[in-house]
Amino acid sequence: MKTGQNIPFKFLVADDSEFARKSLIMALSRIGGNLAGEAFSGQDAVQKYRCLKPDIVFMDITMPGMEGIDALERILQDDSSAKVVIVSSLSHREIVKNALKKGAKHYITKPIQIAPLADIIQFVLSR
Amino acid sequence: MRLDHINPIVDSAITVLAEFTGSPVNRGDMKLRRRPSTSRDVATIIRLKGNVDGRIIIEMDGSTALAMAGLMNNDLFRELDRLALDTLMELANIIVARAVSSLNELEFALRLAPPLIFTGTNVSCFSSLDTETLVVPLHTNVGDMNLSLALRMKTL
Repeated sequence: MKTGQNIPFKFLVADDSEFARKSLIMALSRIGGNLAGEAFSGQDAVQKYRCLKPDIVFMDITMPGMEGIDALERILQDDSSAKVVIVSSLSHREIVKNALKKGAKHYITKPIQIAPLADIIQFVLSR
Repeated sequence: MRLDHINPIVDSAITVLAEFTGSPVNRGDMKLRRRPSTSRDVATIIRLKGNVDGRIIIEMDGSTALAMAGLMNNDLFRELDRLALDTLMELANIIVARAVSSLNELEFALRLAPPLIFTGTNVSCFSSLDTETLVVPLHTNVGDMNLSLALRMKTL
C-alpha cells in the first residue's frame, strides 16, 4: 500500500525496548499508520514479517539474539521488495553506511522526531 | 581517563536530557570515586567495549526517576514499574549510543552492551576493571542525576 501523509500504511516495529516501541507506535499512528505487530528481537521481526506482511518495518539495531542488521538481511532474503527502516541511537557513518549497504531504505536516529516521519515514510514507500 | 573520552559522553548526556526535559541541563563540579559504585536509588549501567573499556552509570533518586520516566512517556508513574524502568534504560542507551557514535567518528572503535538497571542504594560494582570513576553531577528540571564514567584505554 503506497502512502502519503493521510493514507494508512501497515507497519511492524522491532525494538527490545517497550518505551521505544510505544513511542514509535504513537508517532506512526498519528500520521496514519496502522500497527501490524511488534517484535522484541531480530528473530521475532523475521517471523512476524513473514506472517504479517507489513508495508514497512521499523527496526532497531541493538537487540538480544539476532541484531537488527541481520534481521534486515533475512527479511530481504525472503522478500527483496521489503521496506525496512533502521531506527537506532547509533549514528556514526560506518554503521549508517553498513545499514544502507545491507538494504535498509532509510536510517532514523533516536530520539524520534515526529515532524520528518511522514516525509520519510512517503519517500520509502514510493521507491 | 582522557578528556577526549569524557567530553563526548558528558555532551551527549546534556543534549539528550535537555531534549527530553525541554529545559537546559546544568553540569556540576566533577568528583572522583575510587571505584564504580552507586549512591542513589536507581542506576543504569552500560558497558563499553572496544579500544576503550569501561562502564557508564547514570544514577538518580527515585523521585527523579519517576518524574523523568513520566515526562518521557507523557504519563504519571507512581512506582518504578516495568515501563518506567525500561524508559530509563532507553534513556541511558540513547545517551551512550550518541556518545559512542561521536567517539567512533574519531579514532575509536567502540560497541555498547545492552543497559542494566539496578534499584537500591550503595550498589558496588566489582570487576576486573579496577579504575577510578569520574562523577559528573547533572542538574535537570526533574531533579539531579549523576553521570559516572569508569573508562580506560585498552592496551593491545
